[in-house]
Amino acid sequence: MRVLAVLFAAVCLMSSTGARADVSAVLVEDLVDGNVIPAYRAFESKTAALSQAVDAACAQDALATETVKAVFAEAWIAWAGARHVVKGPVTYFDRQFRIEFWPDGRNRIERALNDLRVAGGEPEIAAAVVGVQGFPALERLIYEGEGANDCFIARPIAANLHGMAAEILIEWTEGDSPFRKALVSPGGGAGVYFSYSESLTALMTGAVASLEGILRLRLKRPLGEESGIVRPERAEAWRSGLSMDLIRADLATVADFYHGGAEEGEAPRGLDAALRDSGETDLADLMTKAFRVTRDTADKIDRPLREAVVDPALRPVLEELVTQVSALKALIIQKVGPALGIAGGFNALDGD
Amino acid sequence: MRDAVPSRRQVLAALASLPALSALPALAASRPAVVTTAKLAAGGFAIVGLDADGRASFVEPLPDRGHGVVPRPGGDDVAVIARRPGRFGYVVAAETGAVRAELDLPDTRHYYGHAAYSADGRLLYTTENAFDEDRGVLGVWDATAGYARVGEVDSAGIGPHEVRRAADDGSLWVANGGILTHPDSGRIKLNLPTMEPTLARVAPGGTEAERVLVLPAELHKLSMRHVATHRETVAVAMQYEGPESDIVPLVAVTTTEGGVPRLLDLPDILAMRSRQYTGDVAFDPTGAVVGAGLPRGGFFAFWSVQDGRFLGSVEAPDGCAIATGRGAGGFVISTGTGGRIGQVTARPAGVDVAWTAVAQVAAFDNHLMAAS
Repeated sequence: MRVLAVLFAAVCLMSSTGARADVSAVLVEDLVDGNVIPAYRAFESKTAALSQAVDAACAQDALATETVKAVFAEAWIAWAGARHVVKGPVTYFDRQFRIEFWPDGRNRIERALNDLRVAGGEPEIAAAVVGVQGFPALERLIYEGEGANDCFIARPIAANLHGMAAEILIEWTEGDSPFRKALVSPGGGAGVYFSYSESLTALMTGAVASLEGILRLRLKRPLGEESGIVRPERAEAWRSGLSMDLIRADLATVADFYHGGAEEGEAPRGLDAALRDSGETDLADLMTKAFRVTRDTADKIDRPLREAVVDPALRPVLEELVTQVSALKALIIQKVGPALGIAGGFNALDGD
Repeated sequence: MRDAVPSRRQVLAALASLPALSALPALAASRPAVVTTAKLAAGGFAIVGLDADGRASFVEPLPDRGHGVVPRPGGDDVAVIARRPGRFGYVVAAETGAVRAELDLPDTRHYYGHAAYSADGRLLYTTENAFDEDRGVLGVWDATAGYARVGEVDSAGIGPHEVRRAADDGSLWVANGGILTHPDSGRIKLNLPTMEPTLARVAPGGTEAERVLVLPAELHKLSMRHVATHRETVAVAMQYEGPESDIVPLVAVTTTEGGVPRLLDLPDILAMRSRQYTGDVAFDPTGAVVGAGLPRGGFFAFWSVQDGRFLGSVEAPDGCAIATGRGAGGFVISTGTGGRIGQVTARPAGVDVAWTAVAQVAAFDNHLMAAS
């Protein structure tokens, strides 16, 4: 716990130099080209493999094969590697929710799948209700479904996931007005952002939202922190046991985003480089350390969250993870953003 | 996560722990013209009364950030409700801000931020989330019985945010944002593809809400959050949950009869700056002009009610709160950054503003109300 105390003390005590660097084109390019687009490329390729694997298994009158399970895991983890991007093409046509509608407090997914089974015939998944289109629906078919009998639903879900991934990638990178251009050439044709500061704000909003999602949805709900009632089946992806792998992927991609895709030992890029360039070396060192410490803590949880939350030995580790992710989030909002010249308003960020 | 219910003792402790208020400049003794909530320059949150010149007539600490404030008609109470998803609600004295009553909220509810009194001032209605039932309610409190909770009205939608009483007939107007959240997930939105914002009305003395306005399907992501009324006219301020690149109307004007809404547009450059987000809405005293605060765009916008024509805007960093002011075209506005109060005159010929800085305040919160 000592490390946490140090991180929190750092949040509270570090004095910002007050030197606000202008947000540079290079910074935004680092984040987009070093992290966001590679993340979508991986998502596209892993969902292509998923669709092929489901097709191949179904051709053999099977669905829940080891190959399908392995490729399914890789595809969902690749999605976790990209879901810190909350602006742009992923918001078109409700894609975020279609890819992963969760949590599903009203059990919409189960009901929608049963409706498809009763209706029979290959469904037009892209036009179906939102809950039935994504990873949680496919997970049910693979892990607790009716095997090859569900292929007529599983095949189009997998194909549709790949279709959405491919469309997102194309809309970011190709055509006359790719979304990449809106961010790296603000004030230009796409017209969504007017300055590099706005581009950076849009990107950092996603990183913060991702950490918030880890805290609020992925950890605290199953932990039942306030109520004291542990709810293992509120863990994300509990059927496939991927919950901790998804959290690790979230953390990895936010860390990669911070570093602009730079590997350890490479020259600093991204937010890390921008902080160092503006003289905030201590903050950059602290951030690098905070990511490493938090990811190390996540690595200590060596089983799915559904099991970890009921293991008294792992409880302190999970609580440590909650504290560290909270500290990371606070550092980004209270220190990194202001140091780079972006700080939201009292009301503008309020959402009411 | 659910906030703990602050007990009176905790509130008193919170007050005691704040920086000494005696360190503030001596306060004017005049009766407040405006009541609002704020973040103080000295730290902490407060409910603040301001006189007509923008001087603070009281500054009373709150345990956390407040949101909606509403004066009791014919009385000198002001109700102040916690910011969503908070759990404190107080009734304070309009003259001094001193706490008179504390609303005792059931464990299975949290506040959505606003409240309204019945026309006779007897009942107070608060917007609330019945989170285990995925529905919105209005909590009903009896002001004549120490603000005891005496019932609930279903809000006819998910996520009721603002409730306002129509001055003419005393009906209550509820803006149901349509967005499902749960205290376990904070403010994370859980249902955007299936959201259904609605404007609902509770007839005077009524016990149920009826839906008056449901936007067409292609606009179902325009979350209706704030509402203002003037006689038979109702204005709704909205927040868009779709792609940032869409240009959508953000304020709708309809009638108490529920006619087809007139959707008010902004000039393109302001529409893009708006980030598709309004935070508050009000009419001028004549009902001829409607104004809205757009904190993400950093400006206030004004339209003619009769023909929907855009009249102009006022630059205001992080400005959100807007209320009816004095005279034709009159509004009172405030800023989140810099703690300023503005007196606006919005007329067909143009929009003017005069600003006053309020020293004790670091940031004015989302809403302000004229004290009755």
